Amino acid sequence: MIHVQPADPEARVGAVPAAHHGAGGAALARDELETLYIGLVRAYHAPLIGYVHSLVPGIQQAEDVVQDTFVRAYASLPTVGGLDNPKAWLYRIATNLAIDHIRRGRRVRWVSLDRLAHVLRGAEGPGDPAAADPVRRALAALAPDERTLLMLFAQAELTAPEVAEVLGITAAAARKRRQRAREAFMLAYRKAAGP
Amino acid sequence: MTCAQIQVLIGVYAELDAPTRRLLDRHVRGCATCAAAWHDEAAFRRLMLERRDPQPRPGLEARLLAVANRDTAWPPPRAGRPDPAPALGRSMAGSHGRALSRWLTAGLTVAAIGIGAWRITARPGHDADPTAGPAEGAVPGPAGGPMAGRAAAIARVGDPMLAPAADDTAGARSADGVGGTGDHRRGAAAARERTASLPGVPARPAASPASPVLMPAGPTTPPVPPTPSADRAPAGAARPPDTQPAAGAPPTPSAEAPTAAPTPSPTAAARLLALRVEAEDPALALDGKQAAVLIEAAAGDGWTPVYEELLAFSGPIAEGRAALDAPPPYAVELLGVPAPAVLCPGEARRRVLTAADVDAAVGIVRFRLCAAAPAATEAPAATPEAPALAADGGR
Repeated sequence: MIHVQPADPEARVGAVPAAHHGAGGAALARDELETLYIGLVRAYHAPLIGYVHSLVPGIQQAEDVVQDTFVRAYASLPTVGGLDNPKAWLYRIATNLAIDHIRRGRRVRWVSLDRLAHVLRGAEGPGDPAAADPVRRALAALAPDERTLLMLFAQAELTAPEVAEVLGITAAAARKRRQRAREAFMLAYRKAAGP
Repeated sequence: MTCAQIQVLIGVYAELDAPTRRLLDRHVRGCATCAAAWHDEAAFRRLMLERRDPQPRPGLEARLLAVANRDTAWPPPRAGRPDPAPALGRSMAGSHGRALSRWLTAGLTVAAIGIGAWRITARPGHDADPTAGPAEGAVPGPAGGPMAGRAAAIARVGDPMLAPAADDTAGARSADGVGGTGDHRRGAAAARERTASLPGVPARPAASPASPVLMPAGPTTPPVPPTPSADRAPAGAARPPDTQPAAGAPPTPSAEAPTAAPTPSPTAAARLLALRVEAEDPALALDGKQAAVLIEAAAGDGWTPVYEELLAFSGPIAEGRAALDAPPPYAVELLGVPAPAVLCPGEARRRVLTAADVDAAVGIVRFRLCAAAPAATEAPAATPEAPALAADGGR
């Protein structure tokens, strides 16, 4: 197995996914890459939507992030070849893109024209489903890194070593942070859910 | 093992080996603090299980899979745009930034076209002036700046729709009741005329009537299925007299028509898209108002605008056509909707059409509008990127 350093810019967080180029060290052929890509899309696009939607405000933005995730994954596949843990690799790309998305959202807040009147009145508007969901409100109350880590465990069902790989931390640190994030979440949830 | 260590491990219980689990179980049974942490963890897991995962909307998987075929796939969105306005959208927040950039570019484009058309039409004898240079034209070349390039792109794709001498599809447009506003077309016509008069700029042929989209071969196949709007919006109703051809009438020679036969170009097989914006409630007061539609085509790793159309409402319907000489895929986006209408809940504002979509669905893209009642404004934040075209072809 040949471990390669991907040229993927999304690899800036976390460990580099172990990759191998096919038997004999030859790079995977285009059709093999496409087969691999199609398998990734079919297996992970729906779970990724759920995961990203727990990090970014709306389903449309989640789909944007997931779409960008797969575009970048496709572009990087020739470099990384076969993947030992494609799930962790995809989630790392998605996490980085979602974090970028959240950071941009802090600088500029976009409001649809349809909801502008509500926002100007100081209300998000009745059409905002997040306003009524205490789980979502509790998640929104967490720090972005806490929310990300917690969702990698709970939504993406990654193991501690996989979360560690995605976030570039140790497995022990991932376990400890999970506990703190879960406690913060439950506290926020009880506040959001009320008596 | 301390309570702190146990409480950390409770969260990853499934990953523990059997001896560690037994150790943890024993500890939790005898420790109230850790038992509380255990119950807290159980409550957390229940909440996560009860969450309803959002389901990806139809078409997402197909669009993602299309990436694997770079020849027919849509390119990565918002990448590699040459002009600053889309770059603004790209540097901001995803779809919202993109939406803003669309509005900005749409406004600037309309202004540029309007100014260009005004400059031409306000000049006496402009129609017959074949010698005017680029400095006076409405459409400078691509080097004339981003907006100029965009206007040129719009003028280029507007070309086949407006060719006065060879456009035998004009009658078909009238006959099928699909007419444009003329606002954009006037600008595009003027731009085309100016462009055609420039040295080194080949004349572009008219759209082929044998377009694979709207003009399938065979006399038994109607070019475009008749639409209900034909009754409500007579052919060319919104089209100004100077661009409205009479059905069946011979083409009117015009001074500005190129005298040389148009050079066949790879763009001759233009794709035609019928654009239709329709209010669900016919009583919605939209008559005379306009909606803006932007069409982009794949260009390298990004999208590039190729057509902009202002559609005027005649009653509850605004219709137009776009002849696109760039190959699919296209992104069709409804930019502007006049009050008091809004896009209906669940209706996609931006749609990506693959070649198969264009061919299979007879090239009709329909946007449905609803009244801006409170119920409509509560629509999901949601302008879902629905499948490119409705299963019925958008009819």
